[in-house]
Amino acid sequence: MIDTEVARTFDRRSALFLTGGAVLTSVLVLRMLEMQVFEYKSYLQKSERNSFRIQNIMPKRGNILSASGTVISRDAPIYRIYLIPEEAEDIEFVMNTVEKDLNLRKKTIERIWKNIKKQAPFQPVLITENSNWDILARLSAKNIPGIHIDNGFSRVYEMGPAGAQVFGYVGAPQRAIPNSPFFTTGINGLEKRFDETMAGIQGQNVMISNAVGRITGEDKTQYIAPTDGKDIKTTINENVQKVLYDSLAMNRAGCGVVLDIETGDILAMASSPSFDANNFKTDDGEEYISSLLDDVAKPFMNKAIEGLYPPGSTFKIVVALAALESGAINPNEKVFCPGYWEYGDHKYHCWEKKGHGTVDLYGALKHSCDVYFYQLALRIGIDAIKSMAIKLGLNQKYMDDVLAHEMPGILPDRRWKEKNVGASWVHGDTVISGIGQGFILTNCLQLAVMMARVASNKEVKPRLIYSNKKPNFKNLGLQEKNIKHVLTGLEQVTQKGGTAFGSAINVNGQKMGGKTGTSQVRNISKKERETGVLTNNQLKWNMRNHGLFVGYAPTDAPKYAVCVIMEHAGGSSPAAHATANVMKELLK
Amino acid sequence: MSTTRVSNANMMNFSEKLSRFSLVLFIPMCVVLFFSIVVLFSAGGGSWAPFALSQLIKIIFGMAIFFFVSFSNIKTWIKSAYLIYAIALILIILVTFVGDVGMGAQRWLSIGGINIQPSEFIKIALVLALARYFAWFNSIELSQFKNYLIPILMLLVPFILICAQPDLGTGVSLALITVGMFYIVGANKKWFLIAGILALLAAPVVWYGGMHDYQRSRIITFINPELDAKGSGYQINQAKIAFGSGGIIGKGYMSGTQSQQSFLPEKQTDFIFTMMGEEFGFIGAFMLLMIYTFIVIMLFWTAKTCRNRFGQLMCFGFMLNFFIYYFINISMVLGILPTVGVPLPLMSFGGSSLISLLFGFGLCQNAHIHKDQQLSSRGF
Repeated sequence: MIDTEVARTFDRRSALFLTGGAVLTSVLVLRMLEMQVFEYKSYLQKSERNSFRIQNIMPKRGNILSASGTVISRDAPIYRIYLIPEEAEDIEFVMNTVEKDLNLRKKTIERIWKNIKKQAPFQPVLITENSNWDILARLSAKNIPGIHIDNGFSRVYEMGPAGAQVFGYVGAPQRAIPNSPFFTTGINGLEKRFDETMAGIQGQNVMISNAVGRITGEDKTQYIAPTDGKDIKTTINENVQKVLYDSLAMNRAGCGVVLDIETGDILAMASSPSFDANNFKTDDGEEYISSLLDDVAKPFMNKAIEGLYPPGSTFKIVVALAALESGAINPNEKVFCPGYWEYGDHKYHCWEKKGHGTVDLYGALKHSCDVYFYQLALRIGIDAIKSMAIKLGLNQKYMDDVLAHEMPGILPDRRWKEKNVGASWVHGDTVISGIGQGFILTNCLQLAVMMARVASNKEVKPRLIYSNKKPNFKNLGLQEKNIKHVLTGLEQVTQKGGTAFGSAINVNGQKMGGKTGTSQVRNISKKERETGVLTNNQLKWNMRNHGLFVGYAPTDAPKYAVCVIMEHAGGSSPAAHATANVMKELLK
Repeated sequence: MSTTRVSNANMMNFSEKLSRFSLVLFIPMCVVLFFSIVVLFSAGGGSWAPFALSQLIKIIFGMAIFFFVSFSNIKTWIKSAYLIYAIALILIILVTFVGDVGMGAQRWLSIGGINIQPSEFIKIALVLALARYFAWFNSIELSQFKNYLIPILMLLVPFILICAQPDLGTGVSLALITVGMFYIVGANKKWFLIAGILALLAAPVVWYGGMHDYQRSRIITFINPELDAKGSGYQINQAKIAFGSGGIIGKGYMSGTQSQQSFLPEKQTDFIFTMMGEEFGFIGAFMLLMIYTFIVIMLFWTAKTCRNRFGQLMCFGFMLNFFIYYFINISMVLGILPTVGVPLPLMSFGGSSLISLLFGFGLCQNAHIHKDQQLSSRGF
């Protein structure tokens, strides 16, 4: 028998449970009434919307074309096999069947399992693309639950790594579109900026299913055909683009821009190291991408507009023109270069330790004499230099409508330094600005524009999207004779004794002029200079100087302007060589 | 009936036991099992495969256990209560370290091709062990806190392991069952207040430190399911659509558009009540709820009329377990509580839950049959 006190406790306390149980049960009943009686209509509507299965149809994405109409990136039709894990009764079994039938690699199987585990069970997992039709037919006849076969499109990048950062690539959208497996969207470059134009409009296929969930047919009345996307035609010349990229790829990292001086068309724009987006979808895609992300040389960066570099001696073109325009110098005026110039309490070194002897403007450009330009810069002052630099197109953005992340760079002056460095401008700042060092930063496209403007005396503006309308560039308003003085100097750069003599070209009598530049990434200490211990070859790669070259051709009637920057190449000759290669391709 | 005869119940023969067998407890249980087969047949798309036949076999096996337990000697279960608890606990420990994780949270052990979920067994085992523990305390002993230390430990060990699995639903169920049993045996009301305050203080620590991302996301989704209509909110949104669109009379057997077209995930397990509601409407769902309520009332009555403390506490504990089971499941599919992964008792597809429940019903029948038997303290 149960102790009476204990029994009484049971009776007393069970009342609470009974009351609680009754209340909780009432809550359930009320909730059921609310849903099935009061809100019935709204739920019914939602459920009716559900009983059709809507499958969005991916439209064919527009191509990216070169100026001549050659395909750069296109949508290729493919067959695609995918799995919806939720629909498979036995995933192991399905995978085994598919593995045997399709002869899948071990790597592929691993990737599929990884995706199955990672994704929600109703999200499709790609098994393979582009199998041959016989295999597909056999697989399709088996009618394995969960396995779907579908035709769609896959992006093909015909140019591979050449300009991959410019053209961009497509990938899965960040927010998945419901009922739209494997839809893609532009991730970067032109693919991203022109996504709306190229994407097209998705179509819709409505499937009806019977009471037991099998699809019995399509509702033809609700079918909407997809609208193909529009092509984007660029100003790119695919051959020049390839030559430029191949030349860049000879160095660890670099970038280049090729301009048509008359139209401002960007004939080529490339950056290295680069990537091949065709590899992203392969089984090794993930590892490939992570190796790219780990690369310190930043393969995803479009260095031609995103990379900022001190222009180095290429900036002497700006200083020379500014001086000539201000009337401060006579091009024949001579300056003596002993290899250094002492000003104030500082000793400014010429890159040529032995000195250049007596040089005039032409000689100073030809040999890239630093001492000459130190003095010139100081004579005309930073403001005159800056306004000429702006006139020639530096410190401006050109690609805002087309590409993202363009960096305008820096053209310093008194106000800028006070605001950003917090110190007042000193003469030394002006002196080193004369050779494109100090605070000045430019990008590759800007330097190509500068070259184009000097060579044409026109306000050349670059463009990447093709138009058959020839732009009418304003005159820059510089005196023709001054332009002539500078170009005469630049012509000599590729002549015997010039800093780029090794890269001289002669295509049917057409020659190239230009200007070399090396820009310091680090300051050389006084001790290093005296002992001469460190030459560039002995430095770590990322401490070496950048090599630059801006060039134009043909010299007698300039048509093309090029800028090539080779990161940490030590000197300017790899950049000059690359420019010469590009010019040879253009002039042939 | 005369007391003298039953006090010597060791001698009860089978026909006597049979005459004491409670049909009011047995029949509603069978009705629910019958519903389960009917609904699983529909969940399989109008076919015995893959759910209905497999479940029927499990029911037959479970019934054998049920009858065996019902007519066995009650002392067997007093003697083996702690042993059963220990076995269930070992299984929980095993599953924590070597178990497989399914789509949801419950882990299972694969033994000879059969997947078992120890977290289902522990619910019954804990009730049995607690009933055994409290059965011979008098009211003074029951008011002393030291006598609750062992039961607290009996809860905490599996509770922590299960919450780490992480199976929040079972963990919470275990805690509620234990708290309920403490209350009914006569624990001091102040202790509950203190425990409640401690739990409130621990909540933020658990939220930031002890919960998995997906558990947090489920709770957030529960608060605002529209946030993530295709992710973890998908299930519950589709479930609500299915249930609500059933209306008063339902869409008809095997005609639930939501369930039949796989818009409703887990329709054969945790979301089977939704399918019931879609195909049989309010009438069907309400009927099922009423049968459940009737079973709970009958279990309570069995406990109340039981004249030995062990049987009483066992029936009461099982009643709590049964109620919590279906209340959490139904609240979850109706969007009242977050999706925690608790099956609907006797309805959901799956063997572990079914067998544990039929074992539990067997124990209650057994207690009912032996309700007039006096059990001597400790030494049996």
